[in-house]
Amino acid sequence: MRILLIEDSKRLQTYLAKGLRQVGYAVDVAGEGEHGLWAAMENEYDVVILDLMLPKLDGISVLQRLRSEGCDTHVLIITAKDTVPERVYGFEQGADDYLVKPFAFEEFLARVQALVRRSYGIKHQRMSFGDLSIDMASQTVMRQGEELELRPREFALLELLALRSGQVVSRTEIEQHIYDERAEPMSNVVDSAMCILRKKIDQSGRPSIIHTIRGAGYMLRVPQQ
Amino acid sequence: MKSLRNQMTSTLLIGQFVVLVSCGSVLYLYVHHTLVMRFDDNLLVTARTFAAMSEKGDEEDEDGFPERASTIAETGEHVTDTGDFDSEFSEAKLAEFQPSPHAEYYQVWEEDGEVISRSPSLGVADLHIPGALGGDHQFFDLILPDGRRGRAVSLVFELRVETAGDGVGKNEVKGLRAEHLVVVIARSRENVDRDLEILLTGLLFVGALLVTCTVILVRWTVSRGLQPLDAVAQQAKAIDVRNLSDRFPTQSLPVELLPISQRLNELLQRLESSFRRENRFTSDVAHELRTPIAELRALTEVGLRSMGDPIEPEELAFYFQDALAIATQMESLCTTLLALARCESDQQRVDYSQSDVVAIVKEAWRAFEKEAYNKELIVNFVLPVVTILETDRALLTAIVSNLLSNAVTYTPAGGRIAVTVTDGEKQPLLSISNQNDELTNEDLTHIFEPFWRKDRSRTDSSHLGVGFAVVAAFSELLGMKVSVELPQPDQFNVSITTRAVITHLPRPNS
Repeated sequence: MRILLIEDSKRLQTYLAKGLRQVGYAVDVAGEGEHGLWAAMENEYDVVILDLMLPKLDGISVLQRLRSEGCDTHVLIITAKDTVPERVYGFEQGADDYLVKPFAFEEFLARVQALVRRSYGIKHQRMSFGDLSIDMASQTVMRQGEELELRPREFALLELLALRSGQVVSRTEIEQHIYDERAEPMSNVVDSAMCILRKKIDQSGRPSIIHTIRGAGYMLRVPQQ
Repeated sequence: MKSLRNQMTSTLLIGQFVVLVSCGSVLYLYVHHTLVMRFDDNLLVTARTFAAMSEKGDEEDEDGFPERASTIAETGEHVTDTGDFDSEFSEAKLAEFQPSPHAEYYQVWEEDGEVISRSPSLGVADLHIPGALGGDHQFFDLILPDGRRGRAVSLVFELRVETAGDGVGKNEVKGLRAEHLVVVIARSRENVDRDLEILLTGLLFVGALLVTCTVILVRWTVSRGLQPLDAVAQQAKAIDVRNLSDRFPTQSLPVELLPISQRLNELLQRLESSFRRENRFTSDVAHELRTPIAELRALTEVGLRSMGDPIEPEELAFYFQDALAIATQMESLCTTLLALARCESDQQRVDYSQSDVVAIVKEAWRAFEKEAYNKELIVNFVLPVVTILETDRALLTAIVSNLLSNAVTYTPAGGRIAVTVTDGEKQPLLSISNQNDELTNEDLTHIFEPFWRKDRSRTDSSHLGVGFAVVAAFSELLGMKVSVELPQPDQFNVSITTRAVITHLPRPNS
């Protein structure tokens, strides 16, 4: 899942992005409003995390421009402004969630995850595909009752396929959602990552739960018995 | 609750009612008086005419006294005149004194109360003489013998009594003897009463009509007159925090309300400015307090989540360096806020001593030399040898440091700064001028507000926006005045003047 963090505090940029990356999110960072708006319009993000007091272009203006341009990416506002009128105004301008600084990172993460699920129309944090179950809150994957050890990026890849299960997810989409601007994915990085993921979640002698759709991409689907 | 509308309406109505009743009463009493006076005049004329037309002969009875009118008891029938009382009035047999539904009455008495003449209309009835006669005549109301309300006049008159020759009597003068008689003329006052009744009815009708019209007119006038006030009241009622920018209309407003509206607009302007300042202050303080806490919390929580992961010493050092920087920033915030609070509560200690302003400037500049060098700033100092001032050295140092810090921070790279210290007599004690093309005159009105910063995003966490607030607070403590100006669009000047005594001491070997 790819997230845009628009925040002018260098330290918050650093540690929020670090924490999000730890759980497998690809995070792009913008330190001022104009750059943040440009990034949000140019890339496909699952969630935009937006501070309100930003240099060059304030957060509310960024939000208004995003909505007026037809961008419906979910936006989480993080700000020190805590009054009810300010919160209401934020929602009125198109925010999907509002979090007042300072906040617990766990809560911040939970809100980001909730917005990600809402992006794909999923309400439950646990999804099951046959004997494979994915808990997006605890970021654990179980197969036949046994927990599988996945690295954050592998989990993010599985999560993306799960959220769009039954649909073909192209390599480009995977690159856009799994890798942030810091990464320079090689041409076969998605195939390699998919290969590793398959090894971890598939069982020997049984067909893979992740299907390769030649020339199109990948699809997570429970094989027919 | 008091209502201006009700108060004005009731006052006007009561006032109008009192005026109407008073006028009506005066009119009624005047007409009453006039009618009665004319009636009385007629009565008196009649009485005097009666007196003038009366005389008495010298017929006397056997006892030598004139013959008296006989009473009903004596004669068994009514007689109008005694034999010796002679009145042309009665002889004329005037129709109004004859028995009829509209009859008038007269009756004549001698001094001893003996009735000597009466009108035929009286029949067997008697009139009466009022108890005490003041003057020769007196008017009084009475019930006429036929039951009607009447009014009468009693007149005491002298009757000419013709004497034949040698009569004896103390009133006798040259063959004439005077006798005092009393005549009472009475007539119905129905016409007067009827006229007064018509007048009263008319007055009551007109009064009622006027009262009704007055009620309608007063209510309409008061409502119309209070309309502008109602409009102002409605607008005032609608004002809340969200629409403090609204203003009361001053066009087409009555002159009585114009000062109120103008004053309210001034108050609203001040209130709006205060609210804006308050909101800005709250928002700025919230940002300055919440952001470092949010940073610290994110830093520590993310660090804790990485506890199981291998971590490089350099990365660990970053965590600690950031934590230290946040702590230092918050310490600076607390120190500044406490200093401002102490100044506001007059608890800031001021230790006066002789301090060299030039030395303070030079010492304070050392902290910014490196940054100025890195930004390639051109700094020009115009300093006298020494300027000794009786002041608090620490507070003045804080003032100078804040001003130099501001100049170095906000002067663009390669820009110019001028620092001037004078003898302070005709020129400011200290002036610092620097290039800055971002400030406007509007900004200068906020520059001394705590936490105000030109950059509304407050991105640069190394500054809090309280420097000028501290400068203003400390300057006030030291009896100095700080002023700011933009002599040119890209030049910002701050100067400090003082009323303190300045001593110029030549410094040897300087």
